[in-house]
Amino acid sequence: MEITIRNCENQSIVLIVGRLDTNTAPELEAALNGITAKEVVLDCSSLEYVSSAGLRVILASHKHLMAAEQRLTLRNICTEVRSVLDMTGFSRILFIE
Amino acid sequence: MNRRITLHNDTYELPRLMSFVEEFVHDAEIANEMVMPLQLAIEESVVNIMHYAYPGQESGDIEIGMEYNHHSVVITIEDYGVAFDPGSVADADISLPAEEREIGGLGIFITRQIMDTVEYCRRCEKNILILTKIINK
Repeated sequence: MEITIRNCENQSIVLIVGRLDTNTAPELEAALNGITAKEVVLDCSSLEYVSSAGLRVILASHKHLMAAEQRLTLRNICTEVRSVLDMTGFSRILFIE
Repeated sequence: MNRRITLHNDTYELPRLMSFVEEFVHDAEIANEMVMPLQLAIEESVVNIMHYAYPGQESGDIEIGMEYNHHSVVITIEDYGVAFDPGSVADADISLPAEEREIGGLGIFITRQIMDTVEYCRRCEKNILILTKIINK
């Protein structure tokens, strides 16, 4: 997995390329922890796979940002990843574009 | 078709396991859309074993078999670690709002959602987990 962060004004766009699994989830966690922008967008256009380890990081970040009056949005999700968000109920609790 | 792989109880083995699943689906001529769900169910089950079956720094093996009989894929996951029945774990409550959702506890839930049956037994000091997915070609 590769992570690229692009900052513009109050927004950080985090592009995730590859697989978000048990081994790579800590990398995303570390990347998200360093962001202070008001709005954080996860660009999932190149995210191929997500397991519960990745979902844990996304949910923890969502909660953390909401508590700090920031916002996490997921964008450009492929069908396979979307199906995992749907089956776990994450589609209903996250901001998805 | 029947194949087996043996892994050490360390997550560095996951890429090898994911390749094993992908090759199995391809060689069995199962629809490619099944790769991700099967990888996901197996990752969730095997990572649980890697994290909890062998306490401390104890080294142990995990044996995984995949079988396809033109009707279903049967995945058998065996370890020699501490007895653990995933069936004893209650389902995550996915109806809760974000603030009330637990950070963990999703792995077994995901496995149950993907597979048609999840069976467990303890035999000869081994945990044996059998995951079955009906394949509609």
